[in-house]
Amino acid sequence: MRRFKVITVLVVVAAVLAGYFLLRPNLTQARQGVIELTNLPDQYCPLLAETVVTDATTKNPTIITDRTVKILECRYIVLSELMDKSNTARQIAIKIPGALAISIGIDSTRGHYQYAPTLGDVNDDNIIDLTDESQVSLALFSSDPTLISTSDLDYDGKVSVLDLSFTRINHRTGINRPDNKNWGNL
Amino acid sequence: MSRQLVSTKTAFVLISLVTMGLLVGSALLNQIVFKAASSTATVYFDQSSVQIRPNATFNINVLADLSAPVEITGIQFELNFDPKIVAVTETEASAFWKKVVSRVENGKLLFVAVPTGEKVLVDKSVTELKVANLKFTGLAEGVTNLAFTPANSILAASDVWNSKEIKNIVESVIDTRITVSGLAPVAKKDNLIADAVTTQEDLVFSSQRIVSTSEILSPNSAVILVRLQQPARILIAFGQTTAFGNQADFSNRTSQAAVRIAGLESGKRYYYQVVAEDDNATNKVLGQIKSFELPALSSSGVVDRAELTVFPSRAANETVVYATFFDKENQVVGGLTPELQTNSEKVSSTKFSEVAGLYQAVVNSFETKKQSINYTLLLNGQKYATASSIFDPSLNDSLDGSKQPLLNLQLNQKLINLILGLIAGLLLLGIGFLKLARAK
Repeated sequence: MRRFKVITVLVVVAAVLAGYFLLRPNLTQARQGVIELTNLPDQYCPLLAETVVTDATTKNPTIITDRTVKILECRYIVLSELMDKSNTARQIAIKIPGALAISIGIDSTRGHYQYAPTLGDVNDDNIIDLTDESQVSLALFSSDPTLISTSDLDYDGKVSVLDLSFTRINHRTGINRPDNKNWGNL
Repeated sequence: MSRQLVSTKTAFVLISLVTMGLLVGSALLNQIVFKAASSTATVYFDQSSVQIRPNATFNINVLADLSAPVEITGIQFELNFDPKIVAVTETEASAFWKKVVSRVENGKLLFVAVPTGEKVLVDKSVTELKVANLKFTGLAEGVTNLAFTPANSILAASDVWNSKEIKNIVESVIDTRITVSGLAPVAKKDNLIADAVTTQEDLVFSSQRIVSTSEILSPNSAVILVRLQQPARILIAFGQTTAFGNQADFSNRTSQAAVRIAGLESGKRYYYQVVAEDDNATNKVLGQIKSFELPALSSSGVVDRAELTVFPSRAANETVVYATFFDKENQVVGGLTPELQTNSEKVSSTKFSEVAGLYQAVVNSFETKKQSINYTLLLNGQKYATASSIFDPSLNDSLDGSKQPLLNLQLNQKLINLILGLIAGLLLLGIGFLKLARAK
């Protein structure tokens, strides 16, 4: 019997080990109760996010909260700041500076959610188009602080071809606010 | 229980050690694989130094070497120079790129270009990727560096296909030096045209580059020496005008070829362009239009100097040595019996054969290992020129381009984790079954 116990233990350990390696990317993301902004330039550091939380369960969603919240450590939107603690499914529309607005479905305020913002919306009209591209083109190599602050999408302190690239490869429109109002300028 | 090979305790110790080993191995593997997968770039010029006369113009290409496949979305550089010594007269983005910014401010050239589409796909590591062509004019005698500002030298690119993550992949820049002097030789190449590709599909052929071209001249013929980045069919278009009108080709698919053009007129100027074609002749890379003037045959017959060229300078086991002798008026001297001396007993060479002042000999290597050979050109016992080359038998596989790797896996983190997980699982299951089998 003892040797069968050993074998059973071995099989369990093997399964755990295999599971660990397969799930390791998820295990390393330990922070819970947040929406994490990913795939961003290292220095990109938005301070605020405009958020609208709606009920995801109804066909005509009603707005539950409409808040501008702080972005923690340049990367995290804390879910408890958006709504009351609950496990009810919610749809959250988010707009951060220089990026298109997106909508994320969540089912718990204790979960960990990720999204990769689409950068390039220089004028924050929620559309990345030739207007944004021209604005960055005009600001290239500029030392004017005003031009830099509006066109420096990656927050590296200068307007370069990196900023221009974001406006060129991401031509599209972000999602509308649930109430179809314009996103405000943060 | 007495037949049990290892105790339960020992088994757990072994499992723990295996687990630790796998964890450490996994961490190391991740480090190694991901470091190797991310692309870096070096930006430099196609000429390490330039000598020109005042008021003369010259072209210089800005090139980039990329260490791995990338999607390039834009290029930018800031180039510093002394505006009293040289001036920028023209800038040009390479094929399929458009200039966004090109302006000169206080001795700085600010240049930005973006692809005509969203991005340019480079599907393998490349060298000498042309970024821009710049034309300068010498203003006054002096020396100046063409120096990149590293912080403003950017190749905006993404390692991951269709990723929204853009970063600067430039890791290093290499400057060049310009000397403007009345004593500088008159520039021969006054009609440089940028390398160009003909269709968007050529970008698949994009790793193809004409690495170098040079020529060996005799009164009635020229040998064009061509080195390509990858094997291809090589054609030489040539003629007495830039319209060419004649063509010579090297029909074998190769990455280095010596193409002989005979029946030329002594003393005349000829223009030529190297064309590298893929197997179907659908993709072409065109070289710069270059020119040469054929020397006349010497009437004095008195040798003043000699030139010795070995091509290819890196070969598997056979190379060709070319020698030309000149008199004081730079006219070619023929009718000589030169000799070739080498520093190795493991090579053999044929005697020089002459065709109208151009001498050539074939050298073979019998060494199975890589060896470097020094050549000395002798005429009547007197040493006239030296050259060197490398024989490397391993080049046999790479030069013909016919051998492809059997398996070309592109690993990503998920795949590595899966493989490691399966290995760990199989290993432990194997140990378990082994124990079971022995117990039975």
